Amino acid sequence: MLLSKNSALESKDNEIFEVEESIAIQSELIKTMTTMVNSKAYVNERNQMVPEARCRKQANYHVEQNNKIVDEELSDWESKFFEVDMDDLHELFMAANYLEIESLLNGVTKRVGDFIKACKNVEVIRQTFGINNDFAAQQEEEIRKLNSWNHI
Amino acid sequence: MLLKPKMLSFQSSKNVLSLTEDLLVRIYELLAAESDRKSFRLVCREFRRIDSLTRRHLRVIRIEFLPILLGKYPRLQSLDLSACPRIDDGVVSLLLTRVGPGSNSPSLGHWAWGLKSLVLSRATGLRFSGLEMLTRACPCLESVDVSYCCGFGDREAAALSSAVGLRELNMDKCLQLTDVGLAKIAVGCSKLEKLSLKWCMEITDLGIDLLCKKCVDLKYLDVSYLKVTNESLHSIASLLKLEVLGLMACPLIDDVGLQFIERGCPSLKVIDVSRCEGVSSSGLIYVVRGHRNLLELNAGYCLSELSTALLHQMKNLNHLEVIRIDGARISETSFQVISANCKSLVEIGLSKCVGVTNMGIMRLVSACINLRVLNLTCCHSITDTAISAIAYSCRSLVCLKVESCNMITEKGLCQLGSFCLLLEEIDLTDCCGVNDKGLEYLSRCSELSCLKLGLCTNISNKGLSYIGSNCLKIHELDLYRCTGIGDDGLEALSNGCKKLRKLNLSYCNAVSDRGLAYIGRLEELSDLEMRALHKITGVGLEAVAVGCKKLADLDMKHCEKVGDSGFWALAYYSKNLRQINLSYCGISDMALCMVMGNLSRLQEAKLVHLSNSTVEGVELALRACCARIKKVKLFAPLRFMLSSEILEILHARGCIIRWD
Repeated sequence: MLLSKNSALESKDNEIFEVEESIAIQSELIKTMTTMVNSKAYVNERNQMVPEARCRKQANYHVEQNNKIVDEELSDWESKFFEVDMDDLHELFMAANYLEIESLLNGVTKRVGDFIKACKNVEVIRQTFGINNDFAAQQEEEIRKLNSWNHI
Repeated sequence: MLLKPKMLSFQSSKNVLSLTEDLLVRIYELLAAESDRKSFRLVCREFRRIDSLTRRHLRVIRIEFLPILLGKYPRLQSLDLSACPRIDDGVVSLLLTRVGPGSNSPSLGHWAWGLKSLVLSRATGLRFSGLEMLTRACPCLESVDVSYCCGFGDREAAALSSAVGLRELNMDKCLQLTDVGLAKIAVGCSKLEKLSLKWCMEITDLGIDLLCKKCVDLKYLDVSYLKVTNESLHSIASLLKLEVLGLMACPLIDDVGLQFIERGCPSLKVIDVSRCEGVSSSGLIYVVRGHRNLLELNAGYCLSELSTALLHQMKNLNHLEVIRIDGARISETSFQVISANCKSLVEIGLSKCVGVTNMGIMRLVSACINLRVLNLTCCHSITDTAISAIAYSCRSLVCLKVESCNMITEKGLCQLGSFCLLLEEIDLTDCCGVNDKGLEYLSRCSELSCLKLGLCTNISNKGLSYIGSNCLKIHELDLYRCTGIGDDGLEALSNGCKKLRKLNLSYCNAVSDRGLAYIGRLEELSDLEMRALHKITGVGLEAVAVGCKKLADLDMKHCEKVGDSGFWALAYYSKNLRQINLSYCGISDMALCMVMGNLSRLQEAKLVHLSNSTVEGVELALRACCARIKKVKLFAPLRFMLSSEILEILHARGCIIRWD
């Protein structure tokens, strides 16, 4: 298991990198696994699902967080961290969900939410996220009508 | 940080839709603003499904859509029908009826199964049978609000008493409620934690006594305005879990009764004895002596002064957060004691107090640095010195009321603009020392959302333009009788303050149609008061009607030059209008009929002295709206000229008529 203060995590792309134990435990998944199993090898095997880029990103995320930066700096850094394009954001989302890191998940969710808020209308939302409009014309009309007559 | 959503073409596997449902729900729950949720709902089927699943709360205005909506949202926890004017027993029966077997749509009764909170405030059409149906259909009901259902009485209380799990009940102004009904509730809903009975004038000590014996978990009890005596206080004192006690304007409560509270209600945190004529400092001594952990003390307009003995007791109120002693005489000693001992104060109310001096305020604010709300209405001796001290010490200040403090000038406002950057609400009504320079300084408070400048005759368009450029979060603006304001000021306002909801321009007689055209650009405007604007015509009114789609409340009394073209526009466009004052306007019979008939949400109308209408016209207009109108004010002589038939119809539908 964790022989020293650092734990080694192997990613899907077979890259191993060292992360401080306290940071690795931020991920609920890793935490559960390391407490359940005693073998370092086993831990690595299970981590194969996670591609390298994601892992590195999370490691960095937590390193910075744990460095106890002053509030303002932290929020500045966080905004830069999340200022990535849709693909990367998606990766982060999936990774944060898989590894069960609550703080990272909150950050990414907020970022997506901000994107939606910034979109002026529905069409822009669809374009941003690459979603097709699968409503029938009548259904869409019904929803629009409901939207305008109700303060829900 | 400017967000520029990038437009990329995605591989389908990286589409946001490939996120799992719980992740999408997380995103959805972050969208607090209704407009964002409306957009979300329209994006695609999956998003709409998420919206349906997640929606917990529904507030409906159009009753026609209710069945559809209730079918769509199966996990509702809270339903607000207070804005549906026509909800009655028949409608309730329809909503709860199951659709026939074998049909495709889900049975309508589903929505009631998980419902926890029901708001039926002002649902005057509802009666006990409708209520019975609801309480039987909603087994999880925990919170019900039937306030202002003035016809509700004991039978309705009996219906409510079958909701065994009820925790919160608001029956304010259920005028027919007596001790009998209250007893049924007390016996049936023994888990009750919060109960409000304001203005239920038939309640006596007997009812309160039974309530306190049966509902021992009560944490919040409001018996304001009731004619209960000290005996009720004796009963209330036995409530071990009571935290909030409302006794506002109870005429028969006095110091003797408060003695019971000293040893009773051990959990008491908040007490309100404002306007209780029988209460004085001596009574409050009992309350304070027994409850050193008191958080909120409301004793406005009942104390004549804070006696030395009371001040001595108040030295122990170290956790006090809110104190309101409006109308009392305040001495220097009072300020000394409060500032030395009550440093946790967050809100202080000294409205119309005598003896409030600069020195006293300076002493107070230097100690109570966490102050967020300060009310110094009519404290005439206050000058810029006090304001500067407030600004410098209380950086968290959110609300400041200094109406009629006419010695305040731009110097004080400069300090506020420099230090109190969290300020959201300020009332400067009748502060004639406020000028354009002062507004320039004040506009630095960019969080400002409510600004009252009524009777500030020294401000002009220039001052308003500062507000328009910097205070972009403004919701409410009062410019009553600010005769220096004209069309240019409104232009500046409409450019910046896009979130404006409530605006008062009464007696700003420099405003013309051009100014109203700018008002028409304020899409969020719902409440507009523009009395006696003698320059405006139908053109201006039309601009407002077309542009301000959310307009719900319009007061244009004495706008005598407005012609029919404006009223036609109102009838056609202002679908959200709920209240209107057209007194002394030159509206014709036809236009009046269109307005009253076409505006289906109109509930209150003031139609005194319509110079261009006839009796027949008014009668026709009343017939057109008699199904939904709730309150109407008419020219007194019409009482004998209108047919008795129309008056009876209105009365039968529960409409209140006032004669002027």
